[in-house]
Amino acid sequence: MRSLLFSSKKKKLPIGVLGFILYVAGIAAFCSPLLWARRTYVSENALIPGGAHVRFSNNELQRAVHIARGWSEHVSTKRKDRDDVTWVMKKLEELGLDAYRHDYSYTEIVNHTRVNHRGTNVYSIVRAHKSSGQESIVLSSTFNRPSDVKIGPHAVTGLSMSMSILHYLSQQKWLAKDMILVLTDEEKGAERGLKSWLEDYLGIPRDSTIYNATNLPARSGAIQMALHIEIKPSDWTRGLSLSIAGPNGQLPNLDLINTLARICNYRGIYDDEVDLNDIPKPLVKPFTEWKGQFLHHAMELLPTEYYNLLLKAPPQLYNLFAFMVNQAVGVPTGMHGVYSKGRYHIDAMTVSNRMPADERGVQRQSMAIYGQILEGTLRSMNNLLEKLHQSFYFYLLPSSSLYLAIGDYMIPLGLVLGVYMLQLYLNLITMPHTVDAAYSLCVVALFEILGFTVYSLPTVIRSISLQYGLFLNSEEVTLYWVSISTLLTLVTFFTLHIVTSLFPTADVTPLKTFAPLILSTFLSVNSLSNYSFCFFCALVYVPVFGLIRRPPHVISTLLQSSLLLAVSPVAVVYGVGRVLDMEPLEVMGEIMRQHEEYGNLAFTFLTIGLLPSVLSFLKFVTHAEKK
Amino acid sequence: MTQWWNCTSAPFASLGLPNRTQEVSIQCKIVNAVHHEGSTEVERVTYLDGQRDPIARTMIQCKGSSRVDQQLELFCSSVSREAIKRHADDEVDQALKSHEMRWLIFVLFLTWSSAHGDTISREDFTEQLRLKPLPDSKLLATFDFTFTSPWPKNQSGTIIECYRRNCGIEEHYRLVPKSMIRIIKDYTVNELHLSFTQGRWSTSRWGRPLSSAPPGSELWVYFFPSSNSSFNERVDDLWSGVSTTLSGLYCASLGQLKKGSTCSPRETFSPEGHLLSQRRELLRYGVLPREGVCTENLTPWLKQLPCSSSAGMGALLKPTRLYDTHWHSMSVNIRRIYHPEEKTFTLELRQSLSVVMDRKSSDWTLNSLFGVNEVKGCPLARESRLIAHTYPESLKIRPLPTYNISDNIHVWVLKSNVSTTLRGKSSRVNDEGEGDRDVDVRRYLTGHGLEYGGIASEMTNVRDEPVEITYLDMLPWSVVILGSFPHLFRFLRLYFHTLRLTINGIPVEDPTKEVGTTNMIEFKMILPPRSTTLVTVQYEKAFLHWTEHPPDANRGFDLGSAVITVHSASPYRFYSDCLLLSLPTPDFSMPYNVVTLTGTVFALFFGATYNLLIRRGGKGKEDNEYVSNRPIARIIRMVLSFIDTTPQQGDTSKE
Repeated sequence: MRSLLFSSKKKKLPIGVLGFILYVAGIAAFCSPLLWARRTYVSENALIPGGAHVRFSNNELQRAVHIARGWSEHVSTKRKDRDDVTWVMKKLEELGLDAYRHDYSYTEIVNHTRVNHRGTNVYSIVRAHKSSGQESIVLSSTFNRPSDVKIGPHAVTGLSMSMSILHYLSQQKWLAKDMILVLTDEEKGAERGLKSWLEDYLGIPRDSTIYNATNLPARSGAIQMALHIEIKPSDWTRGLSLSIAGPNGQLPNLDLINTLARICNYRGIYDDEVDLNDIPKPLVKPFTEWKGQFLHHAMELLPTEYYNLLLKAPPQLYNLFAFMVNQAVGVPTGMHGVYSKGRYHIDAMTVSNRMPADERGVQRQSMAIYGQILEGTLRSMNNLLEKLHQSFYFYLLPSSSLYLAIGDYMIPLGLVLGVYMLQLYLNLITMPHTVDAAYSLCVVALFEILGFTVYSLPTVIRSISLQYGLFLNSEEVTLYWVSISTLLTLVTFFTLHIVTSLFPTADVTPLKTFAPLILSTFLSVNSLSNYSFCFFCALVYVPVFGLIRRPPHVISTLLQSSLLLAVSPVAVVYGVGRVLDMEPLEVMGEIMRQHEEYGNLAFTFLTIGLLPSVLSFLKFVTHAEKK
Repeated sequence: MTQWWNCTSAPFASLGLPNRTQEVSIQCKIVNAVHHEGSTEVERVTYLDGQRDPIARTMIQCKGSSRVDQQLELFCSSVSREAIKRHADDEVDQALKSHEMRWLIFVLFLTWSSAHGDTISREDFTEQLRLKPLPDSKLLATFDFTFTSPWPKNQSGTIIECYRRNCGIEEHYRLVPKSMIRIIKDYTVNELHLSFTQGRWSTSRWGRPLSSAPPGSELWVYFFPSSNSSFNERVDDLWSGVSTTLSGLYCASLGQLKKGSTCSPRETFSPEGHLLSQRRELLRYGVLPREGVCTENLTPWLKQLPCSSSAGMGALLKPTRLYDTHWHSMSVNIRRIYHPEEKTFTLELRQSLSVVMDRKSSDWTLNSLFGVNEVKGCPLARESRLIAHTYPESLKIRPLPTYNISDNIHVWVLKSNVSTTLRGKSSRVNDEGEGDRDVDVRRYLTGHGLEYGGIASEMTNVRDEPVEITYLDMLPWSVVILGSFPHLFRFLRLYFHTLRLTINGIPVEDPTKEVGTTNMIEFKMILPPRSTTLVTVQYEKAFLHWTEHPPDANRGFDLGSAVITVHSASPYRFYSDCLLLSLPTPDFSMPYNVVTLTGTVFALFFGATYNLLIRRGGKGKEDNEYVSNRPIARIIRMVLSFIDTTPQQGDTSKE
């Protein structure tokens, strides 16, 4: 075999260089589609965006203004004296809509005891009068928003806008699906409220196994899609903000965005005015700081003309980056995350209008357009004969009318990770010594077992503590988790010592091949669910692990070990804490909470992906040669 | 999936008549006329499952009527030239003289032999319209067209038998649609109820329905018993015959009511007329929740009326108004009535149509409701009545009613030669009245994801006294549990052991005893006063073969309504909402992509390239060592020559 393949004795390219070339090619391949990113197209024929005249007019807007004013008057009374839920229900009834009350409760562990929280949602259903009520569309909004209190005399709030739209829809003859409006109390936790409502609607038991369904006084059919309506105070005079990233970066069907973007275009709001990306809240500060610093340094270093060019860089680039950051973080960017494609299979997005603070005329116009866009989108969705299924679920958006499909963005990741596959292939054909290979595999497997154990620890800790009647706070769970994980790591190293004694003559060279395999497998598999996260991780870790060589000197060993420790999970958690101004333990607790709630990849990556790879590389670097 | 029969334009299209706007309906009754299939191009519309029989009531709607005489002649010539011409000429001439008549309806009765015989003299037809205000500014209008006649004599034998024996000739009908008689005779029908409904009846707002029906179409039939040994199969055959025939008659997809989607409930559908046998094997019930109701169902229904839509109450039935309503239900009911004094049986055929309309303004007229200014009675009807309920509103109608049943119910008897205009003025008295009802029902799907789920039904007794009900949930997919028809409706696997019953949140022990058969869930229970009963059952969604999906697979599968029968002083039945269930659906564009792509790759690229790469060219030896000179090996060598593959430190130390 060897003779068959290697006959010439030319000077050869080291694999590291090839890896570097592939890495650069990957980044280039990622950036290249940006230059010729394709325009989105509406796949589902039934949608016909903009096919009908929109009739949401000033009258409806006036109604919304009136409701908003009523709310700010209502809120001005003392907290004790007012009953917000009754006010909202009364307002709905005044508009001739059904108003239903949904009381919910949930338990939370605070200070070792179960605390029962209660809250109330209000919802309303507009029945499509010709249909038999098998399908429905959910609109949601919140009341008790802090920003709804001090508003101008002509301002519109999310609450008033959604009520006005529902009233408008109830007058329409074209309704084929029922429209449900769910209003949740921001003070009691809007997300929790909406989640409870959905759980009750879908009949998912919350606390007991016996499902108590009777707390929803009215129901409709299967929820086909959902829109969350929000109005944010902003300096912008026009424009929409569209949040789509759900838990773990899951996205709704692209047709939903296509429809909205097209209707926006028809109403005179073009791509640059549709903001796709709200940076997640904890990241806003570092993000703007970094951006400012970057620009500051660039101004100092670059000649003026280049700096100007940088400022003029296509907004798509920034948009795409922000979009990927949103997806990578894996926390929903808005209330639409509750409907989440992953869990309940409901395509949803948050459409928020920026409330301009300036004069009345512009504001009115912007709000009327907002209403028309919502109407148009809902009308298109109402046209649907089937569920949304025609268009993409995997895409990246540089702007609301350009997209990168999965076929475009998977190739770069393949190139970046390709060097590992090549390495594996070469190692297999060069046939390492069987004992070496077995030993290396043992090491990798041992660390991977550690990774999986650490990954499943939080659940184990919780269930065991519950068996003994202990209600642990999340900080305690984190603390226990960290200490047990450290202990387990030590145990693993001890086991490794025993394993090493079983292979006295073994060499660790094949470990260089097997160690990054864990990471590359993890990233390539998970890129199907959260591409951005995996791509960013690959960009960071592929070059770092590429630098690791079998060290000839002690200094080199030290340097490489310290590099590995710098990218290890512990260091990552510490670094994130520094950026976000949080304690490392707090960060870890947050990562675990998010994993539990949204299923995002950070925790999985740190435990199953990163920990075994870093440990394997450490073993590779520090392995003492026995001669 | 709606399968529809094009029964409107086909017959005359082949005649090459000019398509004009006017419509002409021709009803012909030809006795013993010989139908020559070969001699004419006209395809006769026969309703009896393609069976061509010498006697049929034929209704053909055609377009274009500038030359009505020619058309009629052509049509008649296709059936029996002489027979029609003799009787038609006079009437046609008369009709053509009046140019104002843009809508011409000819009702030709060719009473050949026993025209004034026994049967015809005992036929009877009445029509009635009932207007009833509903609480939230809605109005319920119910049309009832009732035919009665002696029960058809020959009630045994299949179509073929009847055809051979030439049975049925001895009876003739002037008013009752012949197609219905054929159905009764051929399929030994004892009682039949068919309904087409669009929208939903809101029990909580409008109270108990006057005529209840589930969304989509529903059919239930009691058959006559038979002495035959293979009895059940015979009933199945009869059922499929009835559903197919009705499917053709009303342009509906009732033909889909197969064996697997029907059941024989024990309690729910109690007979409304006289039954020869109460055995429940004789009952078949089927429902198609997905059936869209449209004018194509209305047109044949209307044409069965003696005056069609040209006179009488039928003239009020304008499709544009009827389908722009909150609820629309159209039904055909056949029952057999026993008269103990005379010891005879009568056939009662009731065609009824109910709509719930908006009445936004307080003044309403016939025009505002139906788009028609005036109404006359049908000349063929014994009586045409218009009944208006004025509760909960005080309603003033001109002209004054003929008589009053009570303070709130007024009756007008309409004459065929006097046109009546109705003008009502109502002042609202009590708009927000709660509907008169006993039980509220809500049925919904629980769970999420594509694997498991559940069906929950909540029944709330709103009365202060216990109410006895029968609950029926027909779940056609459950036949898979029996394993008898694995090819039918395999989309759900129902776990009957998971059936749970809770009353006011308190679980009831082992309700599975109540389950009748696996084909349906039917149980009778007494709901405690002011209580809510919850019935849940879990299921597993099946992964269907890709050919088993309907054309619009991503919409999901419709589950029919549950039926609740309330056993009060006047028992009545009502229906829950339909459900929409989504199943795991494959990407149907994928097979196409895969087939085309792989086909292309294999055909053009792979085969050729493979051939090229593997081809060996002579012996390859280098330094006394065999080296392959196949192109593929050379390429690999070239690629690898760029890469440093020398074993690294550890390796070398050992070697």
